Amino acid sequence: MFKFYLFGTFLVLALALRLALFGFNSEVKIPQGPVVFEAVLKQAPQLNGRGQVLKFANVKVYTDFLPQYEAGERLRIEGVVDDKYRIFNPKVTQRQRARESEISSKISDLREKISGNIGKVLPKKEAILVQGTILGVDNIDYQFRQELINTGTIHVVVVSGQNMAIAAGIFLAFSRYLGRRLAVVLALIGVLCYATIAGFQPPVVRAAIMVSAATIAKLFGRELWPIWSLVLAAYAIVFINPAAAGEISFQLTFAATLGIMTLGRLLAKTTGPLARGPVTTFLSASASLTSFEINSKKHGEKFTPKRSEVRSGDLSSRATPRNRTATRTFLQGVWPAATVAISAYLFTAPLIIFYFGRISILAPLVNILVIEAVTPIMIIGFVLALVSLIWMPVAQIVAFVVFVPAFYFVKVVEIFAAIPYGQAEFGEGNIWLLVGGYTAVALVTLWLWTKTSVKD
Amino acid sequence: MNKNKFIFFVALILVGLGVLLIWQSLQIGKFRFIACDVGQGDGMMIIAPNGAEIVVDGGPGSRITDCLSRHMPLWDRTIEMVVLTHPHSEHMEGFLDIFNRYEVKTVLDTVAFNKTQLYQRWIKVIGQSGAKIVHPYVGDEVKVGDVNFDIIWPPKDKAEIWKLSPPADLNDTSIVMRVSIPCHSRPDRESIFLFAWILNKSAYFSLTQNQVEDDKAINCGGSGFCMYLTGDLPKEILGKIIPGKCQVLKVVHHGSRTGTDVRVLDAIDPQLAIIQVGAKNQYGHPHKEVLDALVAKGIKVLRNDANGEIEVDSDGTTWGVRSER
Repeated sequence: MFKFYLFGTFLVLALALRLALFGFNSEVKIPQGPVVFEAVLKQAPQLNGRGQVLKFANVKVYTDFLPQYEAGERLRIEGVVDDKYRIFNPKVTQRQRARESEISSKISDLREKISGNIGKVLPKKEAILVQGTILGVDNIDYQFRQELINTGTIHVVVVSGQNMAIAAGIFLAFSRYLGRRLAVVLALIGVLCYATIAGFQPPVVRAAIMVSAATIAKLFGRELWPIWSLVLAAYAIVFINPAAAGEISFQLTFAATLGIMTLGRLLAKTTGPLARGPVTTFLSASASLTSFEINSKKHGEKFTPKRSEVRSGDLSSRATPRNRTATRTFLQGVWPAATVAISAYLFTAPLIIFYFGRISILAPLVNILVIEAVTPIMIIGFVLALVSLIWMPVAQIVAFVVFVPAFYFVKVVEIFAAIPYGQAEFGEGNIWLLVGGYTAVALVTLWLWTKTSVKD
Repeated sequence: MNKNKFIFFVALILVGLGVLLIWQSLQIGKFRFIACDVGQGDGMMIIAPNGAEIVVDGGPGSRITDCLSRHMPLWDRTIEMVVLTHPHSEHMEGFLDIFNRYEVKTVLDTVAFNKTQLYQRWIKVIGQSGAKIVHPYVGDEVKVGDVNFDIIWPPKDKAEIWKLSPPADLNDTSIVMRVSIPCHSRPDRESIFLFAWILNKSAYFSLTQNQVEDDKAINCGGSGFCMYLTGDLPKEILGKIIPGKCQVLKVVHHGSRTGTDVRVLDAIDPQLAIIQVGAKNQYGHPHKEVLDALVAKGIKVLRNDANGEIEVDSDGTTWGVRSER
């Protein structure tokens, strides 16, 4: 224990020293009111269905479709920054192109090519979904974006921690055949490739670091390792760039991952060995690889319903042992996804309320309904991306396959987004609500922890 | 992943795909006109009884492709014809997204040029797409699937001049069409089978240029279904060129007073008027005098800002309309 405190103190001191020596190196902030500035466009503009959205530091600039701006271009912007740090109808002057490295321009060409190909073989919303899960979306209509935000599913179309975790989880799920070490190495390579194709934006890199840390921790298979490695990864990120700590995306990724690893794991425990999809394989960190194998084997036996069980579908009668098994099987199928969705929701809710002043009440339900569709969308989406680079007619056939889960996802989101009063609006900027919220979440987690440890 | 779960997923996907394909096949077989809710601008699609798609104007932004995605079947990535009535941004911006996502076979291109960047892009995009580009003139008769498009504006002599020097008001150059289908245009039931449908659809297009005919009484003595797509053409011109009555009118210029008057309405005598207009637009469209004139004549009015997407269906003898709201 003494060693632990010593280590902790050392980390805190190191960070303090770093801040004292090099400062915050936070980004430039553009003030409200009329401004004129010149800057290099770091990210390719997003298309929102009405025009282009250019991001500079803390400001979003809304322009027409044409002329099309490109990443790396130097622009002079003249306009008025409103209270939400947006500039509408600015005067934009194109300056010379900044030099871009050859590799990064090749990667962005590849991204564009894949994204364009997917747009050619799928209907629009489904295409956006597939593009988003594998590349991180940069072309999304205002309306669909609002639907995703209102249902708390926007994280699916950005390259988020969850998507990274699924990518890693797909490889880890094969550890039974590949061996633990090889599976972990492949998972790390998978995460790296994913981050590369997603364009190495800062949030992508951070998510990749956190997921990689948790993946490596799996090698050691100890109970608390993944949580510590997550904390260490977050520490490393903040150490390198202290300004990241203030960014909403970083805070949300960290909170969600922490929630899934702590509360999610505990919730998963409460119903005993359960079905595990790739998401849960990765995320229920308690299951070291060995115990995962045992669990899934046990589960495999249970999941095949015997004929007699299928026939005994008399729902009106009191729960007989047989249909109790059926219910249990169903619950086992749904519960792992539910634990992930619920824990991530609870751990991010106070932050979302604090920053945006509103939260989707339906988010946990929608996420439970769609989470299992994300894995096939992603796997088949990657196949589609690859095939589309080789031969489009085959890509069209692959597109039919990925269309089904994507269509399901889109429909669920559409239906739930149409429900009135799906949003609660309160508490923007209320610090006490934030603190209170996290205290409550922490207490619930601790209570569950003591409860399950006693049982163990 | 668990083997059973994997098989379950694959089975679910295949069954889902089958259901979707059958369901979407059943949508084919009648004439459908859809006035997409694109905001302040024109964006319409027509689905011919054989499943061929025609897009008339692309609207502003890229909302037109949402509309296409909703109505085109999954396997269909080809649009048989697009029509750009005139080169104003609220009629053409969406085409850029269409050409990104779909293969376009034929373009009925505007006869006037515009100096905007958008128009330069349009020229580049249609050139690169490999689509057949046609400049239509009065008297041309375009047939896609079972649907006839009779061009009633612009006249060739004027268009030849506009190609070199466009008029002060580009609205004058709008391509205006009378869209009609033969009566008893029967649902083409063979086409519910995918391959039959592909064969059927491939023989879709015919163009007869420069054959000026007088009155085309193809619609069983006027009992068939037809409609006018009018672009933004001013009423002074439109009032003179209407060849006959039709059931449906796409109101000129988003309901502007420059496009509609009693003379136009008397000439067309529509039962339904569709106004493509965005909510709270800066021009105050649709103008009150236009709405009053429509109401006074007892014409049913549907508008995109109030009614959302509007769809007109017809089998050639009967027709119906429904809207989103």
